[in-house]
Amino acid sequence: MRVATDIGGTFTDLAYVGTDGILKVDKASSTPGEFEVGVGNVLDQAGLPGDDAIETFIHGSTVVINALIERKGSPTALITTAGFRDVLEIGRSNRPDAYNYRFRKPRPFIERHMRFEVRERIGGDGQVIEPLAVEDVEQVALAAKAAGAKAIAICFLHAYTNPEHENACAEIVKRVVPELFVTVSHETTREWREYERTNTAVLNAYVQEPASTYLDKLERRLKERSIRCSLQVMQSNGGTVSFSHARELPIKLVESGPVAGIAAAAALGSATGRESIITLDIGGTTAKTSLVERGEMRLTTDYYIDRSPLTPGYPIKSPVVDIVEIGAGGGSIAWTDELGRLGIGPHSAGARPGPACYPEGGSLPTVTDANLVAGRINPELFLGGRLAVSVERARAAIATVAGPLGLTIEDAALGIIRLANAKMLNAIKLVSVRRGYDPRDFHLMAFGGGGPVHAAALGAELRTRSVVIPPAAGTFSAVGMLMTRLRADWVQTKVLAAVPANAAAVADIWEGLERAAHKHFSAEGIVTTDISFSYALELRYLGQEHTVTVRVPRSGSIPEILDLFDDRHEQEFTFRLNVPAEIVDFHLTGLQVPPPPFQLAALPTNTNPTLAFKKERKVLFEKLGMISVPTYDRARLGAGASVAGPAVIEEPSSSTVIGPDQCAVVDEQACICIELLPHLQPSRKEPEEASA
Amino acid sequence: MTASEPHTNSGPGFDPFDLEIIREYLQAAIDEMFAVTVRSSQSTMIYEVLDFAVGLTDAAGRQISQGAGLAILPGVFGEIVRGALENHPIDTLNEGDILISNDPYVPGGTHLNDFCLLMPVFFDGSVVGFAGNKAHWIDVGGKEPGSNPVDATETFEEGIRIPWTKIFRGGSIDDGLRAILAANSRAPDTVIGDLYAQAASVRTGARRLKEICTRYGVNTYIASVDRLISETARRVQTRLAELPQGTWSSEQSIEIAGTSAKATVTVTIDDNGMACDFTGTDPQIVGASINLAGSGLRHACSTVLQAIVGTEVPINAGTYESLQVICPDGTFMTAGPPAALSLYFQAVAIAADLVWRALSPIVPDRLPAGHYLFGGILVLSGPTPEGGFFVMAEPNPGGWGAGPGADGERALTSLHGGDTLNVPVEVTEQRFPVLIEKYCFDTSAGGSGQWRGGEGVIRSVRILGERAMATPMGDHRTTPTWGADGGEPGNFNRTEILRANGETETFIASTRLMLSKGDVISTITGKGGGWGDPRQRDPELVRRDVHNGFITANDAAETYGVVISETTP
Repeated sequence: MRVATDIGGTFTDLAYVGTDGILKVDKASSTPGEFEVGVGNVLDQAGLPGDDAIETFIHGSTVVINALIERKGSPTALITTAGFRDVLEIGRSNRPDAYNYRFRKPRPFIERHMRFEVRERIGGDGQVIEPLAVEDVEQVALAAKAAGAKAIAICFLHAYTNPEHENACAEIVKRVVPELFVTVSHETTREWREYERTNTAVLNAYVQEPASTYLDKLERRLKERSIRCSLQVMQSNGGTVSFSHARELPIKLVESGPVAGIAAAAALGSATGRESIITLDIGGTTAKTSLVERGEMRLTTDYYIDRSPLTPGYPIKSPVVDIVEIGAGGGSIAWTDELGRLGIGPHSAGARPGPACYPEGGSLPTVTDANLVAGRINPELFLGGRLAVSVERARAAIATVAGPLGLTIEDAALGIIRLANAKMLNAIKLVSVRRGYDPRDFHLMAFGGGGPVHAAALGAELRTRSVVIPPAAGTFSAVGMLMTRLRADWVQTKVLAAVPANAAAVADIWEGLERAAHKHFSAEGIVTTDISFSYALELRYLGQEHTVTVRVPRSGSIPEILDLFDDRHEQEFTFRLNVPAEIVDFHLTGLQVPPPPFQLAALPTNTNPTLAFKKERKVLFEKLGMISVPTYDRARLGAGASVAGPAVIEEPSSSTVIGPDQCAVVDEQACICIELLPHLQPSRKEPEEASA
Repeated sequence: MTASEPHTNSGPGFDPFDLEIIREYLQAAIDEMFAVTVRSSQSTMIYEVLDFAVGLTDAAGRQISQGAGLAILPGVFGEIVRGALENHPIDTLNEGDILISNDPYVPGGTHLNDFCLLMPVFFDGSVVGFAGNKAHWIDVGGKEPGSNPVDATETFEEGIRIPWTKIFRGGSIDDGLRAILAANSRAPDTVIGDLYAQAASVRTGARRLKEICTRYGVNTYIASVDRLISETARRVQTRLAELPQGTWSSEQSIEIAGTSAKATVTVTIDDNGMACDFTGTDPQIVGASINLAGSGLRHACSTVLQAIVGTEVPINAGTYESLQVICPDGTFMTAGPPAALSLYFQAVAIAADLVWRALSPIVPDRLPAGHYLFGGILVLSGPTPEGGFFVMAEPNPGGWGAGPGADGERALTSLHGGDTLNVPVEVTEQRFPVLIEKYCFDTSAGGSGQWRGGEGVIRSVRILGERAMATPMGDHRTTPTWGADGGEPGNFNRTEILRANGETETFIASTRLMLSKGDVISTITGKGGGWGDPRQRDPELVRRDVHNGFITANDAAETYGVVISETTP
């Protein structure tokens, strides 16, 4: 049996697949402060056996991101190259809020008196310029402990290319103050840029203690239940890692939760022949979108916490699935201002007070209220019917913005929905069109509570190949974890001219990375034959700074690589240059063979929609106005069942709205697939607007 | 207009949500133009320093929206279109054309390094707007690498000057002009690469404007633009009406390349808005390249106006409706040909700082004490050990001024930059034959106050090649960064040289130096001004300052009146 648990702020989700190969899900309240208790509770609630029947246990947790956001890590010190202790506070010195002359920089996680310097220096070519002064390290390690440090981050200049000083320093620190947690920067990232790498190491050190403590407690609790199988935790790269590795590099868990849904979309897409997917996850406060190209998630190391258009936040150079997140979720608040503008977000009513329609909800109108007024969500189905919402309260809230604009409540509700859609549309364009991808080549897979409500309209606007609503869309992250596998990524900066003479140097770097990978996976108890590798290079034209990612064959020749790079550059930026190119970063991905497939839902055999018909309901559409449409019960639609729009398909956690020109078909994996009616479908070979 | 009838300003028949969605779309278009430039450009001046701006205007050249790394030119694209159309009337433009110019003396002009590309956007056969991209090219010829000589007497020493002309005709590049541009640069591949990056950016903007017109119709697009501009105008008016009315003034003397000059401003806030009168400013300078021409003075004033009204008010043509700038021709803020102006951005900073300082007493919540102002720029060039030639241009962050309730920020980019990044040590060392020996805060004296001025940085660069020429752009002022409300001044930006033989030299002003292998040049950026009497500072904060090594125990006792025992953590 494979078991996955995903901890959120409100609920702990459970998903598991037994010997029957059919997915089952459950949900219990989270237990903030001691989240491991909630895990035990949801296992009890589902009556899962506590013995050898569980082969794999996968866990998603917000422990790392919470410790960072709430500043609940342990007191941390930094040891760095002499002359550079202020790098962490200088940061990149940018002022995104350009005309705010009282702009405040993000404060570093380590104050100046806890930042220590030691004599050592390595050059950009990896050569030692000045040896590490052992006595300096001994001295500062003791000083850091005396100052109350519980963890030490070590970051030296150019350690991404030669880590020997960092390793030597770590050994000394462990000898002098063995009780302290130690992080060396090159294990968190092998990319250049000292501020970003220092900050990554510092944040890792900062959360080592809370992450270890949490994983220890959870492991003990699972052992008490006689669960002794391989314990894995979800990483930000869309794969999993063992608990023991996670204790060393907890920073790799920072986006543990949200990426599971994308990993699931990738896996489900591959299983159903839809390999290129744009994902859309609409939750309470935000919408998240990401792109899966031919079954592969896009990873980035340009990741930040606490970032907004007005503040630079803190960089974490750890591979994270490339997600664009915007402040437009179900709880996002609509507003008007004194000049008669109407906008939504970024403020959100969140879970508390929640949308106006909630029993204890706020008085401000939200996107959820607009959807309720527009009839797009069934008031009887909030939280599976457990939450009694009020359409009247939603209308009253919408009236507060409709009034000043001289609009009817319905028109204002529709306007709020259109505005939310416009924001989501721009976010989707950021991950697709902006990067040279044409949405018409992709399927839009939508999940989260709000995804199915908005997706069909967005898909029509973007003319995606189809819109797919997976089963269990509301607990898709936990489901996703069951589909993921052990995965590790290594990114190494090594600037090399992309010329045939460097072919051997390129092969050497791949070999070195593969050795590191084999070591990592054998520590996880995985045999080499169960691992597959993929290879990507970051390249640029000589003189450029920013790079383009190109997936390459392991033994691809330099001319082959250059061709791939020129094509990709032209796709992203509309031009190619006739100048030399260079390789900057090497990216190796190691993946365990995929787990056995399973059935996402026990599908009924019924293919006749009239047997799933619930009743007619009034729903507001953009061009048709308020019209009566049929609603259907998703649980009663079997594979092959087809529903013509306009219609709504309902399930306990969400509603799928199907537009007037669309039809929906349920597939073998219980996904609802929405397409334009056949006679309206464009031919697939239209002018390529996106790459023109 | 009151809140009960605002929808009327969008005119009858326009859906307020369409207008709002177009606003989102325009912002996304600007963001995309910006990102394309950063990601595909070839020089650090663009992709790290972000010395460029992108913008969209309507067909009449009214600026709709601007995205900037370079923050001192708000509204410049309106001027740029005005300048371009003087030579190329709208009926001479065709679909696919892109105009180019770096002429500093025409509207929207700055200095020769800034090449602007401007693309007319056609829809249904007529022009509906312009997409522009103005970016700093690393070298455009002239007497020195980098094209920023501090002591030029005429602009002819600063590089090539290209009046508005077509670089692309109907989508095809003019090969002859491209060859001329390449031949006149010490870094031909870089500048031509940047030219293509800029072209990609304006084409992106043009495509997005067209999509808006296709999707929502030209009339809705125009209504949306009208509304954006009138909203900004009204917000600026409202904000200025909240300020006390009256007249405030300030002046600043500068010294550069052996010449000195004075700039002065009188700012009036009244029912008409804000008027900045620079009458009394000295004539244009011969022998130093710190003149300002084009519409630079207007942009300097609007930079501070934007700080007063706040980031939340979008910059567009409406920003200017409440601003009047007065200055006779021929001053060093309103120079004419052939005045040298490669350091125009320093003159903009001086002009903006004057207005800022004049108004700080009445807008303390937005305008704190003075900051290091000049950008801490070091230009280094010379042979590489491999037999090539390098040009490195790095700005450095510095100290910002304190304001009521908060210390000044440490190591922040100057008013020129917004989302501008410093250059990582590891990147610099991989790219250029130098070794950075130190990158840390400068904790020397200055900026004391109840709220302290922020620290600048020290960046020490050792020369690894046989020789190098350095142009450190230092401090042009005769007085250090100003404190306010009883706070003490900060200190000057400066440059220290440690020769390989152990000799040292210190420079305050901009200069030009020859360096040899093993010499170390340190750029030290100034500290921000303090705010309020130092004796009023919370003793707990003083203890922390000492603990963190920002001030000495001696300073704590003498300046702040706080005695600290050795053992206090």
